[in-house]
Amino acid sequence: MEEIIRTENLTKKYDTMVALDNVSFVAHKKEIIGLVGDNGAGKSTLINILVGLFPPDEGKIFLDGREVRFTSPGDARKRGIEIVYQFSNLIEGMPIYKNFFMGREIINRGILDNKAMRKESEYALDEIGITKSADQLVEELSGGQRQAVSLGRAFHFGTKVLLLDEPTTGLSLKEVDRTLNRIKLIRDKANMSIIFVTHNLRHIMPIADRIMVLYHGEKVLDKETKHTNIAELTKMITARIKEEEHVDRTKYI
Amino acid sequence: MGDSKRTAKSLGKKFLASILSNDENVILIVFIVIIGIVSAILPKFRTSYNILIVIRQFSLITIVSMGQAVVLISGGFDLSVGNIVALTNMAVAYMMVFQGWPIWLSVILAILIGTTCGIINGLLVAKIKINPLIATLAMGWVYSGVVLVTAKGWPITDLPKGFDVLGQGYFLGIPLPIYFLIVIAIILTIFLSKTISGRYLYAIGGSEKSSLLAGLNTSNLRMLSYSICGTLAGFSGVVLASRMGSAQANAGEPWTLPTVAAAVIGGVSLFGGKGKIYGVLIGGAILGVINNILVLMKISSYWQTLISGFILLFAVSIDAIRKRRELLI
Repeated sequence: MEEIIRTENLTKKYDTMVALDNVSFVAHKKEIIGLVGDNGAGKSTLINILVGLFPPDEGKIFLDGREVRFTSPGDARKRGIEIVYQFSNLIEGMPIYKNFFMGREIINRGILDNKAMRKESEYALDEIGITKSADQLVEELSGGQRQAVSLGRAFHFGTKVLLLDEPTTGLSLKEVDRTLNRIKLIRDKANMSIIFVTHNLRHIMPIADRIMVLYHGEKVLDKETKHTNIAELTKMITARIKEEEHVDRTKYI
Repeated sequence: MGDSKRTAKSLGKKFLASILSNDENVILIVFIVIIGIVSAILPKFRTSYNILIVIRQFSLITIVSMGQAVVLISGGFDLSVGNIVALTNMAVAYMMVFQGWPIWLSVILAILIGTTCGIINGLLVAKIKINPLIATLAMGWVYSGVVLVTAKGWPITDLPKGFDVLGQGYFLGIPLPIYFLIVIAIILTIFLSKTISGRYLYAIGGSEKSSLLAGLNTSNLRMLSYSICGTLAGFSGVVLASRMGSAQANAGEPWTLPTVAAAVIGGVSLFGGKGKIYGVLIGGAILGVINNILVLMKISSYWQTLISGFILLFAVSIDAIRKRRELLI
């Protein structure tokens, strides 16, 4: 499989606390990686670094084999890294099509081409099975529909790395099913790598190709899903195994 | 036959619902009702002379309200607009009378002073991250202080001939400030609805975090909104000096909260991300009409202040209720 993004020894400290400790991993095309861990494990720190919200203290990021440094989320987005947050990263008071093209508007003679944006966003959403009027306000959509719009946007604009931060939290069972199916559909249709951050192992196990576990900022497991199971992952998340191996976590304090 | 009647009825309901779902339409209906009632009760109100006076009176404050609306849409707040009006009002007179500079140069420089005040406000809010209420309140005092220190509280009179055209001139029987109001409203409407920067101002007001993740330069956009507001306040200060034929150290200072009221009555949200310029026009018109009614009814100006306070309270309450309703959906 072709590599898309790779990190080498990413480290981030907040004062004396180590939020991310030498984390290295590789994500490939058409691969879904489940990124799991307890609260404070470093999942958010890792994805915030990858999306350009802040830089790492140490370590490197490679995109398509080239070392990159993101100066802002806009910079990361331009290079093909997009994030979808738990409570959606759409602007509620705006219609779907304006959100869909936010930051990538179609301009015709210096003026916004709303007609073209409406048409294209409806077409793009239809491609992944969402039939919604482009004029509908985001605040009128359910949680699952909002996630669908964000996923459709990432798919349409040829995102290389899609970071999903707890995309199924707060959704109804039906919506969880739909969202997971859409993520699979996007994995199959597009050439992107998807990093799915979640607490819920039952949501990630059926669709992830690989699972990565963080514990107190360290990567403690990185395995193909078919070679692991919920029991093992639960142990790693709660660090029963790691504690037995004895990791000196006071070294930075 | 029965079916077609039912269809017509349901279409009518849908049409009514679509009209009432738009805040600006609702406020327009309220405005028309107010006009209808007042015209019936006060015959003096509906004379063309009085109507022109009303429009001329609210035109300048509504221009500032439109600037305030741009800031509110982007999620900010500007409590210094009244002080900027006072500063530029005095500045244009000072440059013409004490420095002897040409009218055109003084007018441009005074408007640019307004723009600079807006940029300073924007820098404090967007770059230094000071709460907009505190930053603009403090800067308002600074702008007023500059005026008081420079003019020592004295008005500036004997403005040069020719300057009065801006505020007192007519074209086709209509006062020039009304044309200014219309032209600025059209430009701002096009800017907000048809340009990328306009759309981004709504975006940062709707959700700064989402806008940041979409790659928008939220700081620069915020500065843009304050500089537009400062420019419009500066322009109004200049035209006000022309209309009054003199400059006063406190001219325009009481306008700050009415500009917020006009914007909020017109459907602009104090929470950011929502509002239209034509709504602000109606909001400004409603305030102007109410003011005129009080004058025509010979109600004391002390009561007018009290009533203005209640109107502002009413407007922000409506906005808060609107927001709560959205959260419940």
